[in-house]
Parts: sequence; structure tokens; C-alpha cells
Amino acid sequence: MSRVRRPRVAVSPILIVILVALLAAACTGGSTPAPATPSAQPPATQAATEAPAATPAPTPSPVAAFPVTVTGYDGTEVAIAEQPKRIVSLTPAATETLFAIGAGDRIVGRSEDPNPFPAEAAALPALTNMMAVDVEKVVALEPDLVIAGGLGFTPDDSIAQLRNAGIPVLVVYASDVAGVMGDIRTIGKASGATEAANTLADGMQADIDAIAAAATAGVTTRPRVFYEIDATGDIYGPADKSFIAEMVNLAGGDAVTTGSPDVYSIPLERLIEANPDVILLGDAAYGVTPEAVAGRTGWGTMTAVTSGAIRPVDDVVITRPGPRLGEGLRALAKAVNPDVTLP
Amino acid sequence: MTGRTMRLSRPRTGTRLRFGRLGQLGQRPGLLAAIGIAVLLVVMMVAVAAGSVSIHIATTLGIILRALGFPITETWAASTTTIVLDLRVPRVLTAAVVGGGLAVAGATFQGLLRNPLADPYVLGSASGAALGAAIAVLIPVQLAVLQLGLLNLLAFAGALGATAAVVAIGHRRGMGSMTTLLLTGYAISSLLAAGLAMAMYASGSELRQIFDFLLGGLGGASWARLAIAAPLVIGATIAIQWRAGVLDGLLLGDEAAAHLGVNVGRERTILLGLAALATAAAVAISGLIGFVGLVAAHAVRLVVGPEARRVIPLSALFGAILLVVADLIARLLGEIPVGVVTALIGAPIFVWLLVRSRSAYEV
Amino acid sequence: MAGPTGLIGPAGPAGPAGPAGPAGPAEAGGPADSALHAGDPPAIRLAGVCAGYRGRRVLHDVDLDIAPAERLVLVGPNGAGKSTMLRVLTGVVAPDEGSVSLGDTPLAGFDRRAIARRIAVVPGGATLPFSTPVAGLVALGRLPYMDPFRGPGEADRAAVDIAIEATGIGHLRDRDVHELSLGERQLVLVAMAVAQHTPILILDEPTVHLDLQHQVAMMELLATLNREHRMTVIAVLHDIALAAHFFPRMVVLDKGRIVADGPPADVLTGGTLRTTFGVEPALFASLAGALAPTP
Repeated sequence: MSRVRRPRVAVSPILIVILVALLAAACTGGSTPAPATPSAQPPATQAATEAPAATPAPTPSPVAAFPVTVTGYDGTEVAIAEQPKRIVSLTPAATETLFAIGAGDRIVGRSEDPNPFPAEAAALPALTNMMAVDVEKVVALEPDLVIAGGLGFTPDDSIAQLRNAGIPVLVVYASDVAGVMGDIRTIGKASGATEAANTLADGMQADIDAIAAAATAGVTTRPRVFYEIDATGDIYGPADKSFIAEMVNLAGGDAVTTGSPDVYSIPLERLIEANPDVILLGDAAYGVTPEAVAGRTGWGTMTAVTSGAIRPVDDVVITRPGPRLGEGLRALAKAVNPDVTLP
Repeated sequence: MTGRTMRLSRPRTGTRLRFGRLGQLGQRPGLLAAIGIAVLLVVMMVAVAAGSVSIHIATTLGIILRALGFPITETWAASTTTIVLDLRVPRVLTAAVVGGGLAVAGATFQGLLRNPLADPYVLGSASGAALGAAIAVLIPVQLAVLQLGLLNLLAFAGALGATAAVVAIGHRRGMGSMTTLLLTGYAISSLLAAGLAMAMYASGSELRQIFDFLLGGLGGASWARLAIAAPLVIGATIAIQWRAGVLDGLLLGDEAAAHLGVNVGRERTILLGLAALATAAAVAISGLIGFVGLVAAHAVRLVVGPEARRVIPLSALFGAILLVVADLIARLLGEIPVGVVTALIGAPIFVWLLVRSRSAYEV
Repeated sequence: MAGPTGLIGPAGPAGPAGPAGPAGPAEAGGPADSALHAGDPPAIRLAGVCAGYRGRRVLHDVDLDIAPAERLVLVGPNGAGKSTMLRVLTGVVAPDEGSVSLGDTPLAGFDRRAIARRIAVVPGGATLPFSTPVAGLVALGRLPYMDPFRGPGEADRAAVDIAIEATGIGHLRDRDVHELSLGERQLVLVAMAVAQHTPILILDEPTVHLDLQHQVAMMELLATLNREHRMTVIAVLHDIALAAHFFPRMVVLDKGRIVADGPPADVLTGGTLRTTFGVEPALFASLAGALAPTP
């Protein structure tokens, strides 16, 4: 899931001053309570959970892990009585995660996605339209677990309506890389695939650590890297301490950020002053080419442009907080430094 | 009166429609109200029966009748009951309440401000509510009181607060007092809108939530929200209807109204407060839905004349019908913003009515 | 205080029919009750009234006694304070000093609604913000009596009908007010005030924009309302000749003070005409023709 979908609002920077003053106290710069994932499993002393009615594929971890209570990103504790057999996933990352931990056959509906992954997900009914949830369709599917996206990705009203209808809704949101693994573990616990989830998350963590180490091995100065999210109007790039900034840093770069944790747009002057060595095109999928970037007025002085270090990347794997994050980091590291040797 | 008689050059008695039966209905507002209620019930029924999940009309009726206590055997899935009773019915009822509330508020503001272009948002409610909602999205506080999230509460407070500020600053006695109020409303709205733009700028990934509020929609409807907003809207409507005579008197001017026994200062403040309350309640649960508040009262006046005692309840009915239909269409078209639909269906109706009648209002 | 006061005695007679009145002569003593209001109108008294607006004193030490069922006209140059005087009479402006009373009760003791049931004001200017049938506008005069929810009742409808009859606009009843001529609109506003069923009727420049025929018709209507229905009529007029012809009592206001008060023939002396109105008496006489006061 891409974090910032082509934001389109632009306001004179003069007003930023007043806003910053107003919101300095209120905004805590995207503080992120990490999703609570108790590391120890609850004592599995309850009676055997259930006999799954007609699950074609054997579900991993038949160990009685239910009933279980999971705390979501919104702080709500979600009580799940039995292993969910009909899961609705309202974020693409959660869909991928469920498939990766072997719960894919239990998904009955997913969010819209122009490129559903894995391929089996394409057959599932899409339940959202331009990020609005069709609550009726979700309810009609009679799910026993819904996984939703936090911070408004799934509208709060829809979450409330589903909960009103008695459906457990687990809200997940990963604001940093560690959060992605945390979400995977949470989803695993909620869906009764804890072992597979832990295996997956551990593997991802190891993979990411290895890539990060390799990307920075023997590098004295990291290249300054600007990850372009969108530049059709204002230039949008990673905010300070944002997910993308972290990914870029892990990939061996020195991320050029907007200078504020809340603002995603960066004035051209600041970008020119930052003089990135590498420009990564997160908007390549929307048709932005290195040639087009090089031709932009004012961009010609940047090292990245003069040395031709403008490289398109697949923003989906890099920004989606799901099981392919390691793959995304790998691609990102290669884009930052094509000569890097990765494990 | 038979047939179509409107010619601009021919002087007619009365400026209301003489369009066959519709003109005659204008003489009988009681009958018109009864027809309006019937149409509203039918429309609500249709709206509950339709949605993105197709449910047989018999099932829908069965669910509702069963909920009302009739002995009907349940031959459908529990999820279907949930869809009808927890999703569709509150949504349709909310549309009716919000549509009616906005229409009544619009009619009241038009009378109070003696301006046919007044709508419920003219004294700052829209900008205040939007800014309140934006602030709620931005501050990292989770709060819910009776299913009203921080967004709803701050939108309500913002709407009322903005109107109070406008009235406090712009209130003048005597000639031109209404113009001053309108201009103050415009100024404060602009100021708040600037604050909103800034909030949207800083919202980053949460922009969508603010934007959804601005576009307005009934997707968040629930019984709990209805239980809080409906009494406010209905109460305000009844209280305004009680003062319908005063509204008419005020149209003659402050001094003439005083000579007719109206305590002008007090009544005006009360009426403003009631209309602002209805607007704030509507906006808090459904965002900024435009057009209904402006046009419903005008359309009604074109048929029954300007007497407030008739216009207020009939506007409520017409506004309710309009919004229920608009929301139904918006839902069926894939949840497009309902404000778009209200404009698309309301505007042609209004233009048609204007063309058929000679003059609606002279100020 | 300078200037004559010339008060008429409190037992102001209904008076003999004059040549201008179209209706029959009023009976001696007049009917105690009329179709247009209940009971006897109270006497009005202004005592030592000083009044004005924020920072601006307009009326200075005004004493005025108005007997029940009197008909009097208030004249004066622009800015003399006539409108302010009317506002004081209706309680819209409270006097800074002095008192206003209706009968024995001070005006301040009444709320707006109570005043509206005793005094009706016909606004001048006749601009109406919305189009409505005549009967609808006249019905607004019933606001002080109407039930808030049920709206106009039997009594209200009857009062509207009587008012329309009395003002002679029955043929205009269903017409839209915006289609009427200015004179007709003014009559509708008078009907609205009559429907208000009050014993006191105040008119602020009711003949502005009217042609002579309608001016005369208006004056005759006021005379009828006063004689046959025993309404106290107080009018502000700018046309002195018209005022003098149709009113038995004329009060002249100048710079916030009453400078003359009495029958027009007595009041419109050469001195008054010159000093207050700035007009040579000879010119005025030839403009106005013979002045024959009408009771």
C-alpha cells in the first residue's frame, strides 16, 4: 500500500508558519504506538478450538490458540473466539500477508487493487471503491474477522458500522519497518497462523538486516537519495522519519526529506539545495521517465541529473507493509547503488 | 385553472404556478403535505430496498415488519437483517432528517436575512464545521461519546461556534443590519476556510478523511447518531414552526414587525439559534451537503406561496425526499458524493419550476 | 417651554359631519363598541418627554394629550422629530426623560404584544419584500392574536374580512400585492393595520407616492375610521394643505418641540408658516386654496 496517494493540496508556504505554531503542541509528529503484539502466546489451555468445517488446505498451527484477544493500532481490543474461517482483508498488505502465512484460502473478500498479489487474490471479490468500503457487501459475506487499515485508510465510520454489526475488526498500521513485522505477527495471531507468521516475520527481519548490512558495507559516504513520490504539481517526497525515509536509509542511502514529519511536499529550492546524488522514481508506474525528470526546469543542477542517476522503482513492493518488503528493500538497495553486492 | 397558462407578458393573478393540478394543489397545503408524507414513505421504502447487495423486496418488508413486532418467520440470513436494519434503515432515516433539517434551516435563514440566496451555511456553519472536523482529524486524540467521534463533535461545535461569532460580530440594529450580518458571515467563512486549507496541507496521509467530510455523505449513519441528531433537528423544526408567524412579520422589516407585536431582537436571535442548531446537527453527522438547504424552500414557495407556516413543514418534507432520493442514487452509482447528486437532480427541477412561474421573490 | 400648547379638552367630541366626509353623520356620542376594536380607546399622554438616539437628542420636553377617538395630524419640517415622536408613541423608542402613558398605565408597562393590540402602525413607503396575495398580507395584522401553531382562526379570518371591507379593497382580495399600484398597496397596509383590531391607529406619511385622488381617498378613509369606528387616528403628513383640510387638530413640531397645537386655522398663522415652514403666507394661501377645516 502506498502511503501517500498523490496528494493534491497546495497552499502558500507563508501559512505554514502559523500552522506549525498552532499544531506544534498538538501534533506529535506521527507518534506511533507500536501494535501490541504480546510475544508470548496465551496459555493454550482452552479446549480444542473447533473442527474446521471444510477447509481444503490444512491450516498450520493446529495448536489451540483461541480464543484470543488482539489489540489493534486504534487501541481497540479485538476478541476472537475461534479461528476465523471467513476473513475480509481491507488492505492489500494484509491480503498478501494472509496468503503468505497460509490463510489465503480463508479470505472471502479483499480491498480493491489494480495489481492484486498473489495471483489467487484476483479471484476474490473487491469490497472497496476509491477507498470507500461497501459495508453492505462486507456484511453480506458474513465474515468472522475483518482486517482494516489504520489512520483512516479504512474510514472510521465503516469500521464502526462493522463493529456495530458484531463483526470483529482488527486495525493494523505500520508506520515503520519494524511495524511491518509486528503487523504480520498480529495478523498471524488473529487468524490462527501464529507459527507461520512468526517464521515469516523472523525471516523477513533477518533478510532486511542482511540487506541493510550489505548495502552499507564499506560505504564511507552514503549517497543522498531523493525518493520521488509525485511531482505533477508540488514535489512530494518522504517526510522526516517516514516509512520511505527509513527504507531508503536501510537501503544504504541518505534520504532527502521534506524537513517536517507532517508535510510531504518539498519546495524545489530545498531539493536543489539538498542536491541528491540519486533520484528514485516511485511514480514510475504512472509514466514518469528519467528523461522527463532530467528535462525539468531547475532540476539540471542536481548531481543525480548530471550523472544520470535517475532510476525507476516499483513503489508497490517498496512501500507496501507486507511480506514482500524484503524484496522491496533489495530492489531499493540495487537502485540506490547498482554495484552493491547483496546476499 | 386549466392547462398551461404561463406567459411572461400576460399579467396573471398571483405569481405561483398555474400548471394544471400543481397550481391547484398550491391552494391546499394540507393536501400537499399529505401527498408529501406519502411520497416520502414510498421513497424511503424504495431506498431501503435497494443497495449494493440485492435483497428481495419481500425480504426487506419482512425484516422491517418483523422488527416492528409482527409475527413473521425469519427465512433469511442474519447478515441480511443486519444489512437492512443496521445499515440501510438508519441511513435512509438519516437522509430524511438531514435533508429536512437543512431545508428548514435554509428557509429560516432566507426569511430572517430577507435574502433568497441564503442557505444554511451562509453564516459560517460550513467553514466552522469543516475546520472543526479537520482539527479532529489532526489531533492525535481518540474520543467517542455515544458513537459520535471527535470529528462529529468538533464539527458540531465548529458550526455553532462560527455562527455565534458571526452573529456576535455582525449584529447591528436598524437598517442594513441583515446585510452586515451576511457580509460578516462571508468574512468569517473565508477566514475559517483559510484555516481549513492549512489543516489540509498539514494533514499528509489523513487528508482523505477531511476531504470525505467536505464532500458530505451519509455512509457513517448509525442508530446512535440518528438518536442524537434527529431530536435536535426535529425539535428545532417544531420550534421554528411555532414562530412561523414571526418569520413572516420580520419580512416586513424590523420596525413593522415590532408594531405587529414581535419582540424583534429576541425572536431573531432565537430563530437564528434554532436554524444554526439544525444545521450543526445535520452537518455533524453527514458533512457538508449542499443545494438542499438553498433550493427546497424556494421550490415549495413557488407552489404554495411565501407564508412561513406552510413553507417550513413542506420544505422539510421536500428536503427529506430530495436527500433520500439523492442518497439512493449516490449509493447505486458506487458511493459517489451525495452533494453531487443533489445538485444534479435539484438544479434542473428548480430551473423548470422557475421557468414555469413568473416570479418567485422580490427583495 | 416656549410656544402655545392649545390643548383641546379631553372630551373631544365626535363632531358634526363635514363636507368632505362621504359617510353619513356620526351619531352623537358614537357607538361604544365598533366592529374594528373593542371598548373605548384610551387617552394618550406624553409628559415632559425628551427622547432621541445614541448621542443625539431629538425631542425636547414634549407635552401632548390625545383624547380618546381624536383625529390629529402631526406636521413639521424635515428633521423636526415627527418619526421619533411616533416611535415614542409606540414604545419603540423609550424616552430619556418624561413619560408616555396609555390611559392610566405607563407605556413601559406593556410588552410588545400588548402594545400591538392597542396601537397599530401603518408603515409608509409601501415596499414589500415578497409577493403574496392581498388577503395574506392583511392577515399579518392578526399576528398579535394568532395561535402560533394553528394559525389564523375564525376570529382572525373575520377580522381580515372586516378590514378589507372597511378599507374598500374587496375587489383586490386575491390579487398579488406586487401587481397593485402604489396607492392600492398603501390601502392594503392600512387594511393590515385595521385588521390588527386596535383602538389607536398611527400612520407615518401614508400619502407618499400617491396621486391626489388616492390621497383624498385615504384621508376620507381615515375620517370614516375615526368617526364611525371611534378609532384614535394620529397621522404624520408632509402636505400641510391636505392635513389642514382633513384634520380637526394639527400639532406642529419644529426642532423637537411642539410649537403649535390646535385647529389648523388657528395653528397655521403667518408667523408659524414663516418661521417653522419657511413659506410666505400669501404664497401658501394661493397654493392651498381656501382652508376649510374638516372635523
